[in-house]
Amino acid sequence: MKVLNNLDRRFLYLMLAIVIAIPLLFPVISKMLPKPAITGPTKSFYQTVEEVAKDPASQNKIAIVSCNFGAGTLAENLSQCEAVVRHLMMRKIKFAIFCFNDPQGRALGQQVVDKLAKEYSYEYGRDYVNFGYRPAGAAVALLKTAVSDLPGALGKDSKGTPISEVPCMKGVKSVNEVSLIVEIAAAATLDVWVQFFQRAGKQPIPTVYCPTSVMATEAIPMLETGQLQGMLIGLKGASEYELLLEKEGFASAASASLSLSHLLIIVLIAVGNVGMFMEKKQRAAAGKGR
Amino acid sequence: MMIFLGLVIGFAVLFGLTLVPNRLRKPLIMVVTFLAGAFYALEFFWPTHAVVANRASLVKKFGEPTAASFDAAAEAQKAGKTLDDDAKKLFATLGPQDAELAYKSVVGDAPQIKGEDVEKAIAQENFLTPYFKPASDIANVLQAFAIGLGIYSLITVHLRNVLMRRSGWGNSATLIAAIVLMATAHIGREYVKEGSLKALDSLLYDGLMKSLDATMFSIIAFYIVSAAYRAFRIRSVEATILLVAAALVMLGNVPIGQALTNALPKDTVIGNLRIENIGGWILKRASSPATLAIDFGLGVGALATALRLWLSLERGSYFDEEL
Repeated sequence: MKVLNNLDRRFLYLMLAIVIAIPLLFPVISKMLPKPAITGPTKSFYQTVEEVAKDPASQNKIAIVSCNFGAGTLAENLSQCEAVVRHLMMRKIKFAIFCFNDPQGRALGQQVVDKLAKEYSYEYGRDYVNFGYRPAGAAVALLKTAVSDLPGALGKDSKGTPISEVPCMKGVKSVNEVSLIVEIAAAATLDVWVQFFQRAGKQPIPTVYCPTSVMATEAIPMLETGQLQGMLIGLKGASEYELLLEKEGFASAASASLSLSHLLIIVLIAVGNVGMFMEKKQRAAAGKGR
Repeated sequence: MMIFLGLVIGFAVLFGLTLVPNRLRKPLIMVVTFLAGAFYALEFFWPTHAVVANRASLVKKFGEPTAASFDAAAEAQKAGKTLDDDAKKLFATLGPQDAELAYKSVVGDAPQIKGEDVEKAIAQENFLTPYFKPASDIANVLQAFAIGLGIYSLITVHLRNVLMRRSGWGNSATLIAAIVLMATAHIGREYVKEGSLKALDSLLYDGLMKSLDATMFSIIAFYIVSAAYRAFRIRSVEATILLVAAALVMLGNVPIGQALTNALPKDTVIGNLRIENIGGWILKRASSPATLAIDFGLGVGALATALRLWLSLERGSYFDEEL
C-alpha cells in the first residue's frame, strides 16, 4: 500500500505523456470520445460575431484581433485564434491583427491567417491588415490616442505601409469604426481594452475574450456585467467553437487529450487517497498488535 | 535617417544626464516623474469638449480653416443641401474653424447631411488630448532605451564572467552568443527579406525559441499532475472541500466528465445537477468572487504604490536608501 501512497514521479510523468500523446497520434480515439457541451460564454461569443457580420454598418468598420500571446500558450491560444479568424473569414468581416504584450503574437496571428487565407480568398490589405507589435509599456497611451485617431496612433503596418493607405482601413478613422475587439491573451491585457478603448466611442464596441483556462475566472464578472459579450475558455472553448463552426481542427482532437489527462489526475488523486487510508489502517492494526 | 538622428539625440540627452551633479539628480527625477504622471492624470480628469476629429489630416486635405464664424446650415443651403436636427445640434457644439473642417469632411453627394455623419467627424477632447500621441511616442522611445540599457548591462556582466573565466562562464558565453545571433538575424530580417538571414532567423526563432518557449510552459502540466497527486489528500474538512471542488471543476471542463451526467435533461431543475453546471457554478459563484476580492485588494495596493512612485515618496535601493 505504501506504493500507492508514494508513486514515483517519473511514473506519473510517463503516464501523463502517454495519455496526452495517444489521442493526438491516433485521432480515431478522439472521435470515439464524447463531444464537449457548448457552454453559455462560447454561444454568446459566436452570436456576437454573427451579429457583427449581420450589421450593415460594420461593412465599413474593422474588427481587431489582438494576439497577445506567445509560443508558451500555443496549444490554447493558437487554437482559439484559428477558430475565431476562421469565423471572421467565413462571414467576410474585415479584421486587423494586433499585439502589444508579446512580440511573438504578430507572427503567430499572421501564421493563422496565412493558413486560412486561401480557403476563404482573403487578401492582405483588401480584407485584413497586420498592425504589428507595439511595446506593452506604451499600450495605454497608444490606445488612448487611437480613440480619436486610429491610423495616426498606429502609424505603419507590419509591412511598413502607412495604415491610412491600407485599402481595408479606408474610412477607419477612430474608435467609432471598430466593429469588434477579440482579445486572445496569455496575460492580463484585457483590462487595457475595457478601460481605455471599448467604451470610448459613441457606442460600446462588442468585446470577446479568449483567455487560457486558468485566467478565465478573473473575467467571469465582466461577462456578467456585460463588459464582455463572450468568452472561449482555453482549449475547451476553442473545441466548442470548432463544433459550432462545424470545422473540427486541432482543438477538437486535443480536447480528447485534455479529457484523458483530467481523468488521469482524478484517478491519481483517488489512488493516492486510497493508499493513504490503507497505510493508516495498516499502521493502526500494527499498533493494536503490539 | 530619422532613426539615426533620434538615436544621436537620445544618446546626447543620456550623456547630458550623466553630467548632472549628484545633488540635483533626485530633484530632477522627482520633477520629471511628477510632470509625466500629472500629464496623464490631468488629461483623464479635465473636462472635454467637442472638436473635429483627425484635425491634422483634414487640414492637410482642405487647408487651414479661416472662418471667424461658421453657419453650417447656411453653407449647406448655399450648396443646395439640408441639415437634419441632430446635425445642426452637433455643428453648434463646435468652434467655427472646427465646424468648417467638419462640414467639409461630411459634405458629399447626398442632399441631406445627417447627424450620424457629423457625429463621426467629432471627437471629445480637452487641451491635453492632442499631445497624447507625442507622449505615446516618447513612452515608446524611453522603453526602447530601457531595453537597450538592460541589454548593455546584461552583456557587461556576462562578458566580464567570460573574460575572467569565472565559474559558469560557459553559460555566460552562450547567453551573449544567443543575444548577438538572435538580434542580428531578427533585426537583419526586417531589412533583408530573403537569403541566409531569413533562414537563420527562421531556424532560431521558429525552430528554437518558439519550441523552447512552448516546451517550458508545457512542463508545468507534469508538475501539476505530481503536485495534485501529492497535495489533494483527505486530511481535513478544508482539504476535502478543496478536493471535491477541484474534481467537479475538472470533470465539468472536459467532455468525458460532462458525459457522466448527460442523462440528466438539460433545461430542467434537475439539469442543474449536470456536472458542467455544478463546475460552472463553483467557478462563477465561489471562485470568481474570491478572485475579484483579491484583485480589488491588488488594485488598492497598486494605486497606493503608483501614488508613492508618482510623488517620489518611494524608498529603496533604486532611490536613495538601502532596502
